[in-house]
Amino acid sequence: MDPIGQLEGRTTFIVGSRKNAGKTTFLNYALAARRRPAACLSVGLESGSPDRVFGTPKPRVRLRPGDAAVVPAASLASSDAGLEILQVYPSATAVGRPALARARREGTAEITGPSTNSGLRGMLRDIAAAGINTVFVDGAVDRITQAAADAKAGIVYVTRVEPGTLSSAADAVNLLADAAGCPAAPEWKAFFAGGAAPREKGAFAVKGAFTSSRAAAVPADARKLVLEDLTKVFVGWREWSALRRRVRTVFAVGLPLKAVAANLYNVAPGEFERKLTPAARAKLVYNPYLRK
Amino acid sequence: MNETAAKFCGFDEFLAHYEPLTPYGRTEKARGTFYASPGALTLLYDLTDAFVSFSRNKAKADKLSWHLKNIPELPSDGPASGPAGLFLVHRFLSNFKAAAGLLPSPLAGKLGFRWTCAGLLTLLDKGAQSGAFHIADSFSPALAKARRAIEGIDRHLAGLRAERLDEIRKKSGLDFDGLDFLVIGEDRARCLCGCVFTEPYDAGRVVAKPIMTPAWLELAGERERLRAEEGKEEARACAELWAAVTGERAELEACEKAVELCDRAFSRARMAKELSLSRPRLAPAGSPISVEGGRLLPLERTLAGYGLPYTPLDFIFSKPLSVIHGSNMGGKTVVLKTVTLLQLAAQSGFFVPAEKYSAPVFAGLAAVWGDPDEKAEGLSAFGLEMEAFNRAWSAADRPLLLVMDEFARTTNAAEASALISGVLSAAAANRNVRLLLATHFRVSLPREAAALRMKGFDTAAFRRHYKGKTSAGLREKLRTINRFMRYGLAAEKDSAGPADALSIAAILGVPAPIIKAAERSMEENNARD
Repeated sequence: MDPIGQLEGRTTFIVGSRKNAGKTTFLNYALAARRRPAACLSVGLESGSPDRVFGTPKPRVRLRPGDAAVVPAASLASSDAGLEILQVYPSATAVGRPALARARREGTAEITGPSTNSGLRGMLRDIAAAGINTVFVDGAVDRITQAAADAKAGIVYVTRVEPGTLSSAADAVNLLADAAGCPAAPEWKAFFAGGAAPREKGAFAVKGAFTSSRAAAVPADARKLVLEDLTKVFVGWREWSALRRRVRTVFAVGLPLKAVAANLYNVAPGEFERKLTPAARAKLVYNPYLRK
Repeated sequence: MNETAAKFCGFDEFLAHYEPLTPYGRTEKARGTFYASPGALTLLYDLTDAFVSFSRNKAKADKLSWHLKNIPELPSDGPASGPAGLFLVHRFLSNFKAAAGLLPSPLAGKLGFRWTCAGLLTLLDKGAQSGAFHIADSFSPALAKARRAIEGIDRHLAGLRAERLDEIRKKSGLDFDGLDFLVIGEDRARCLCGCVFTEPYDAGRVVAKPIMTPAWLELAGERERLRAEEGKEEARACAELWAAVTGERAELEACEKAVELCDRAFSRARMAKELSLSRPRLAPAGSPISVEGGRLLPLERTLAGYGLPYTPLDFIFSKPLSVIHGSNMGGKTVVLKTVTLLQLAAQSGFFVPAEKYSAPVFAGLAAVWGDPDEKAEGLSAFGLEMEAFNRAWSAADRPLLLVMDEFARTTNAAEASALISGVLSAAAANRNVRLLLATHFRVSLPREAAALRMKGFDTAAFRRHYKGKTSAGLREKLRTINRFMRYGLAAEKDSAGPADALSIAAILGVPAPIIKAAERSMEENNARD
């Protein structure tokens, strides 16, 4: 599998299993490996207030001439990429105004992003208007849904695997790969946006987070379980696979999983792979910086 | 106070059609200005009229919309906003200039839309290309020199790096292939001494970064120095540009005001076209409130949803006080809501949903009605209504249009009538108050009051047409009532008023024995009287 080639010409959300899973490192790898101009931004908590306000280091990316990034306007001067400003957005966070800027020479820049879903859609629109169609979004999974639905986006899931987290990391990957393989049911989109549910006998739809208590409430005679998208699944792998055996599951918004990037720490690849389902193994790529 | 009136008539639904294009217009919309000055309203109406004419040229109107949509808000933090702020100033001026070129001179003059910042735009244009902006080389020869040097060094650094990585690859087989670092086994790293710098990754592996040559390191240091110089020159150029911007602050503020006014009027003109609105006529104080073809837009839309026709209303309120009686479902509330909507729209600077509307300008507008959302600790519906009345009445020290729908309907008839009489005599004594009151209760009116009634349900026509047939679903029932309801206002000649509530109750499906018993009871009462 060419993990980066398949991401060109589309918007990819790079999401992590936890903090310091290696999202930004993967993003920088993707930026180094792609062939066409790309744009990047970050969404979610890390681009919003808390980290910024408390002074945690911000993600930096390496840009080539012609690449674009959403950067904090206040950091334009500190970038050495000779940034030219394409758009400035109203400030909605403590971080200040975000700006969409294009590199005029190779260099690094700090990235940020929008504070709302509509802001994210606007930025993706502006990036497309700038003629760039490969976009990497470093960010929180909870912010994906709406923008992903509009942008026909894909996901790269970055996971940090250590001996103590081997089983839980494998379970999370198995669940994600399985959920990503569930069919899309776009006819249910209106229902999740507040409209009426399609008339479908035996269908049981759950709005919002799909938790253990909600999983327990799925009727025994339900023939189809409808969830909004895979980011709403908050049950364990065992519970999920048991449920999948008994009821057909669909998502109103399908989010294609493009790859699982696993960063193994003190764990052998075979050890991790043995715990994965074939569907999960098919999506697996290892730390792209790793050499034998 | 105006909020009660806005809620009563569904003003938000009307306002939802008002879509300003600039941040300035959106701020004004959020402010929700209620104009009490005929001069300010006349100016806004004149400008709206001018934009209605302007918009007949669709191509020009579309271009103006495009430029207004692209006008950003000028940064309030001035020089502190740095190059991003200059980008905003440049974009503002580019679009302002283009918009100014589209407006006919008389209209531009009325708006204050004058292009006076040509020098500033020319200066900023030096950093602009295809809508993008940066602190360009042309702003400072020193900046250009630093950048040229960095460009040369970057080329040289890339060459040195490639050579070094090639050397490492040949020596160790390790191919960095454009990456800043690699993760390799600890054992392998031990053999690469002098080639890579390592840091721990996990128990058996390390992060390896290439060790560059002294020539590369020296050049990288020189690049850092030039970068610092470039940053200093950028900051200097940025400060000079901001000084030029600040020097034209007065002109820029005038441009901002012109943009806001233009957006206000242009967006109102688009709304007038979309909703078929007409310009209201502002009459001197004390003049009648006169409506021809008035439409209560939320109701019009609801009826359209049922496939029912909407009957536009004609009415005149000539006297200071108007008391409206009429059938249930006869349109009393609709009349009050319509006049409230028209007046509120007119005094918010909008054209109105009526063929003709003429009214004086008031300092305030208040509605007292049974707001179902209103709640207060320990107060009953009656208590809340009295509280709402007190709030409205407290504004009666200035010209006030007070609309009261079914006042005191939650108490007994005798006391309700007495309360209404009290309100009417107080309003008659206060020249500031223009009162429109709808009620089922009969009270003696002061001479300042006009007694009006809704024409009501045409029972005779209904009986002729249906001859005992009953209608089925709610839609059909509403259609029937609508068909035979005469939604007009007339002077009331006798005190009895129409008695059509029973007919309407019957159409709405109240069981026939109950209707019959009610009719018998009415006959007995009439005989007794």
